[in-house]
Amino acid sequence: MGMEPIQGDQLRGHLETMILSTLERGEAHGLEILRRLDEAGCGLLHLKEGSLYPALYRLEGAGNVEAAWEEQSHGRRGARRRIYQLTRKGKEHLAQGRAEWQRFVTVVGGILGASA
Amino acid sequence: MNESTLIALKVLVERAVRPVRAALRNKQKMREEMLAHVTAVFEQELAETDDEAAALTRTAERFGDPAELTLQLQTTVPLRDGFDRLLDRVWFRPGEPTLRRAVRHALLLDGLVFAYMAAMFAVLYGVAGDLFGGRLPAAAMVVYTTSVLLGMFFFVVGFTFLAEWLRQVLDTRTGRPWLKALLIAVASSLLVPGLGFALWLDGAQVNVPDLLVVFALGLVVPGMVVHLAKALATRLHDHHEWASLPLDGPSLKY
Repeated sequence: MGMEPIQGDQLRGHLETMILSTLERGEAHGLEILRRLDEAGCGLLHLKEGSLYPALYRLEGAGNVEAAWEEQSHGRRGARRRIYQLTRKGKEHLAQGRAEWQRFVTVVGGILGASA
Repeated sequence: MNESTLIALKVLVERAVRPVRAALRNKQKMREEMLAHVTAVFEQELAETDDEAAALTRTAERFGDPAELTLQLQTTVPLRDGFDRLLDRVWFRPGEPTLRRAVRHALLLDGLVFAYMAAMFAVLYGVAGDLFGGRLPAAAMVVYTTSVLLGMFFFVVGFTFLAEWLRQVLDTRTGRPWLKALLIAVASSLLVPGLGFALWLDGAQVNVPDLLVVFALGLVVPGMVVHLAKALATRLHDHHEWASLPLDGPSLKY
């Protein structure tokens, strides 16, 4: 039996940490971040793509990522992409997010009798 | 991609962005970035289906409900954005006639300068008990203040009109635009010396260092006019591009 997809609502609270995680592999624009999320989630993450941008703006506002406009639009009728990269603060935030997740999985997994 | 597809993609983005209460620059960033995204998604879908209508529908589905996205985007607008929105309202009101904008800006600047001068005079009077050691009687102070405010008023009105004319010349590019632009630049360089001359006719004392300052400022003004004309052109272009989109048409499925 195949695994059920994970919908956007279930990702709430984790999306920002997951975005930081994808940026650990190097700078990327929005669509590339989604591709990396999809690849890492084995195609089971079902996220409305527009929701990525509010999350990116929050991360940028918090200083966890930096963004710069690409210099040229690549055939997309004048609209440019913004390229995001992880900051030092973002790396610390990611490490903290990972530790919190480990703790959560350990505690809740133990209660449910379904350790990771 | 044809023009109607591009408009449909812009409408998809604009439905989410237009209701967001944020400064124009912030909203423009959201628009451009998300337009780049939906355009790339559309191109991906079109490559798979070879059907524009189906690709558009899939793009809308993948992008999500614009109303929900509006709420999410609103939560990302920082408090300091409120100041930028205030500046937007002061500086750029789409469709406002040039004369009205010029007078509004001139009065606003006069108000700020008047408040500054009043505060400066009050502090000087409070500290020293008189103004400039009693060398500036009240009547002269009123004349001086009025001259400064009138000078600034005419400067801002002239400056605004010159920038608007330059914007129109560069926008339409008809009938020897570079000659017209050059004439506007020359006229703008005479703005400060012209006001200085008017003040001199009015009886102001002018010496050589004052004249040098006046002519130096005169040389800076054309650069300022060009800068304002370019900023206005960008704002108007962005505004027309997005404000003219028909958002009340049928929605795509999300």
